Amino acid sequence: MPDLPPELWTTIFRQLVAVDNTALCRPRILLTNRTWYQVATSIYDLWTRIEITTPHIAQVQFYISHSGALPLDIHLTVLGSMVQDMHPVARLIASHLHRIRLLELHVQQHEDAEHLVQEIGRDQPAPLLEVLSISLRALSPWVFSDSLVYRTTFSSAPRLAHLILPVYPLPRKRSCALIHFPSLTHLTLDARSPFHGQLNPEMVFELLGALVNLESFTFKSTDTCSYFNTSGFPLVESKRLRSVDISAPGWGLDILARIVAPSLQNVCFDTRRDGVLMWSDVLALGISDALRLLSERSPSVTHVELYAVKFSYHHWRYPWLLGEAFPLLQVLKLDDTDITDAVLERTSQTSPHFRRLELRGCPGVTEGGWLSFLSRRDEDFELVVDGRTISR
Amino acid sequence: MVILITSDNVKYVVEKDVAELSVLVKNMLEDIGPSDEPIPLHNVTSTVFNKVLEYCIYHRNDPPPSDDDEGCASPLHKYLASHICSEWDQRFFDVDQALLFDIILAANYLDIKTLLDDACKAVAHLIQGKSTEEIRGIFNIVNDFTPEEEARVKKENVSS
Repeated sequence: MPDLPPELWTTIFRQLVAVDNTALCRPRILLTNRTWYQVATSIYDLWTRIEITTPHIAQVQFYISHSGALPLDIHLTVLGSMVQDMHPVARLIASHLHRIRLLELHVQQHEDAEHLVQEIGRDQPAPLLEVLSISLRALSPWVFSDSLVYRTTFSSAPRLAHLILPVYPLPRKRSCALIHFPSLTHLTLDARSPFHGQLNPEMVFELLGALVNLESFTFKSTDTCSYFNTSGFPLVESKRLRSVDISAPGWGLDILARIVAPSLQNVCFDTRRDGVLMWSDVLALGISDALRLLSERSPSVTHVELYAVKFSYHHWRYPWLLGEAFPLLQVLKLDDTDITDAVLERTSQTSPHFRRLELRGCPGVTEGGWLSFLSRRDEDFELVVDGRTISR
Repeated sequence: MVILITSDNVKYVVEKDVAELSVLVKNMLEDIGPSDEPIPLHNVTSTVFNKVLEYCIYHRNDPPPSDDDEGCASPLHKYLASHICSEWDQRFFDVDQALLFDIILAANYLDIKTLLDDACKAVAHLIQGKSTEEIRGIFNIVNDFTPEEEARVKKENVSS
């Protein structure tokens, strides 16, 4: 065996779990020989990420007992009927709630998530909790009473910053203490499979309105359903919102069109869709409308990323986007969009702060087009095409 | 310029900013003040020091490492820190195992944190994804567990 002092093996093991965080990595270290076992079990932070996929409680106990008093990141996957067998593990985790920094639950359906959050939270303080993430594998056949969704969680969680939830069912403002925690600044809603069409947009707007300190909002969706005419939905004022990352297909466009976020700086808008979901003129018009509303309501936008976007009237929509839409625009990234050489040629004026354009997979733009555009920019302007920085 | 002498008596004249990537050398230079006295590196041979010097020259303008990648750093921070490794570094650490461990020992002795971390990362990549048997084979490690001990470790740590 290489003759290294224990502290150097410690560094190696830390580097190893950073690149290989699979469930098998740590047992393999332990089983190598006695020296490795002794070194590994003396490194507290090697045991703080606990990945639980079975009711095997001895493993969880081992990790917890060797993690000292460090914060814990718990990743609990409970699928099928296994949730019934998880009570001892859930109770063990609950007894260390004061140390939990991240709690990720991947479960079969909502009842399981509700049950585990209740059992682990028990309306007790979670002083270190920063991230609560829940994902579902299947839709429940039951309809839930809104007032019971995530009703029992934690009595307090002063560091809870990021909530990651499935889009259905969502907690309600009047019955869920969790969403009133002032530390919540990041919200991710997952409306991808299995939620095709299972979404109540009014509950999304209510949740957005309840999170008064929200700074970033991510909404991921895959289904086709979208109103495109959202005048019936309430406007949601989000004064601290700095960043939105929205996908449409689905309801993302509708949500984007109703957010009033005067401090918004970063906008990522992704309309990539699989082969089944076809583009339509209605969606192109919806995108134009949503960007127009953003331009009116969010004058501080500096970064815009558009994926697979097709505009109606793209020949004047892009010059507007580059020029007058966002007066503080610094960076525009276009990936698989319908921008063309002719559009770049028509763009005579850009935001005075505009300093970087990234193009990827935009077949309408050729070398002649981008070089001509670049020749009309300042010396320090950056143009990146398909990952390559273009020089003059 | 700084004069360094390795344990096999080979003399190196090294630019000061390169030599001072080693905290050990930097502290010694501060202790002795302005001087032409050579600094002995008792625990490093010239074969290993050639590699150390190559690394230090290449990384001389890198920003200094931060201290927060230890202990309680977030999982994402650790992941990013572990994956930021250039092609040059990958080629640099593509050496035989004995030399790689000598580089680790030299980096530890000379107190060059980035070299130590990167070299340990290279060893971690050797282990990554390997079975216990394969790990023992790579490092010529003898399994000194009794069957009972091995069974206990498995019971505690391998999900059934």
